[in-house]
Amino acid sequence: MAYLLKKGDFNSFVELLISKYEVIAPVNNTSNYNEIYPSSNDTNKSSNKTIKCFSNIPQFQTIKKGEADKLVFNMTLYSPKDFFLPPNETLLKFKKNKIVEVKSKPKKRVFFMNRCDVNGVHRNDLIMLDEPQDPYYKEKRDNSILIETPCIASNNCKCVDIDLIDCYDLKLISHEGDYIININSRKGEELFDMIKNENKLFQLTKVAYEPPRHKIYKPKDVKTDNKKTWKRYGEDCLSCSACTVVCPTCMCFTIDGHLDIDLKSGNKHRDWASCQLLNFSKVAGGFVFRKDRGARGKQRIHCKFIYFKEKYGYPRCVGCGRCNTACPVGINIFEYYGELK
Amino acid sequence: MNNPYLPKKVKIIKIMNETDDTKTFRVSFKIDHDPGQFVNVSVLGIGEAPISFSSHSNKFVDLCIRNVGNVTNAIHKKKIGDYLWIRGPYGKGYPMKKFHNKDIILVGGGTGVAPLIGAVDYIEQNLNKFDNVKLFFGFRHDKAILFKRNFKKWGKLFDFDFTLDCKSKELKCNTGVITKLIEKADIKSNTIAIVCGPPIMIKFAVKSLLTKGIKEENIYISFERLMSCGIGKCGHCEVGGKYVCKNGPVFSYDIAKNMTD
Repeated sequence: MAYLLKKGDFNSFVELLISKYEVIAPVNNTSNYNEIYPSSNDTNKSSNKTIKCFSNIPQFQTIKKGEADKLVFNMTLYSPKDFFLPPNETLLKFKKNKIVEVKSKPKKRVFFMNRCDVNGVHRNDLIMLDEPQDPYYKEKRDNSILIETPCIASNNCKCVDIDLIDCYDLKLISHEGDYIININSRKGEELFDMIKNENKLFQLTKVAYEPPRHKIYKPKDVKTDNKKTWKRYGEDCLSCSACTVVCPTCMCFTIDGHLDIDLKSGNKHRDWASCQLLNFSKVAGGFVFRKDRGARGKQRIHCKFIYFKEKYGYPRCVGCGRCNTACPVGINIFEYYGELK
Repeated sequence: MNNPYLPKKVKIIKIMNETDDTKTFRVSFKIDHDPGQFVNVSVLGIGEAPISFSSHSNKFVDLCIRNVGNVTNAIHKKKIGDYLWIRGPYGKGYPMKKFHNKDIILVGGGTGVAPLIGAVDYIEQNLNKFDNVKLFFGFRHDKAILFKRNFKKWGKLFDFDFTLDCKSKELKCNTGVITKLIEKADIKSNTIAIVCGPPIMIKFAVKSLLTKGIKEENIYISFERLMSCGIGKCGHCEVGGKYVCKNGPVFSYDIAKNMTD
């Protein structure tokens, strides 16, 4: 089912969502320097220097009431994965040899995302909701609704080669200056029912919409043992792991223990991990299986394009090109993919 | 909902000293498992480590642990009556039922012997279901020998032999690499082989087993990797597109030979 939403009504549409949900969307970030780096001695008010810090890099943020106009459709530098897998997440707490499960009250969230990011969430679902399900991820995922936004391509993205699928709940489609809202799932239907019931400000008219047919991804034969390619990767790569930080589908983590200073309580938590770092494959005794940067690069490119597809049927890379933007030495993931073919 | 990250509290009921840096902990953990599978043992506040079963019993679990890192060091400080936290069992072990009515050879090196003990226990309990059983172990020197207390029993039940890398003054035994034992032995080509040990040992042991005419799919080897979650999510143990924790740690050689970093 599809509905037409006038462009002028878009802001009130977002405001309606804000009144019911936590709305997270790309926002052009213009904030004061002091807000980003609050200084430790706030008492010194005489030197109240406020440095305006404008960055044109959009960022996923919770949109506050009355700020619906801040929402943009541009590609963000950081992916929305940290709303589903936070960089540091407490799994369990313990106190005097007793374990307490951490129970959080999940917020109902609505996300505005690009097509590639929606697909990124879908790929993460494949691994995290595969048996046995990850309960911490599932809780956050169950309480989130994904709205796909019209795409504004960045200089580095290249999703045309990847063949993304329709896995959104709601989709906004640009149509002659207005938007068509297409509903794709039960979650989407529930959200839309709410909108129809609560809405008094704007009109939604039913329209006919046929989702475009996408070609099905056909796996290509790849040569995996290309020593020259990986040697070059190893020579280029600085092993900074920026690519895996910004990637929407890099979901690797390390589980670790933490002991409080009283030595009686603490927690078990997980942190983001990166296959591009030396410690990722270091076993007890100090042996590192992927000591060479080229070998780590090979793991990354293979994971994105070959291994994941073998296991779950889709390539893990969604073509957003964030890694290409973040890489300080300009390693282009699509170039290496091209060399695999 | 069932939380796979939630460990169970288990009591240490017996500690057996193996070597200077290795102890076997017997914990009261009753669970069905295959030999070759592993559990994630954690010490609260320190961390987790994957440890394989070195027993096969539904009454208790033996964990042979070498003191090499933070977690294993903390485990070594535990005494009888203390508690450990365990979640598992994880992975695919040795498909022992497939091996019934066949010759079997187990080759272990160093700490790699520990996961084999589970299979040895299984064979001991079902001795009439196996034909000829060979047990070849290799250790660095006479102070690094594990499960020495069982050697007499194994000598009676199986074709048991072991070798040391360095010559021993006290023990009369073979010296040299383990492939020497394999080469000397009379091995039929339809034998099942289980190999566990350091990567370099696995490489050469498999080579000499293949020269004996054993088929690649009948050789089972164990992968050693850093594991964190144990359920195929964290990505640490991925080799060649397979998760060692979920698809392994036991792989038949025809699959394992294609798994490279």
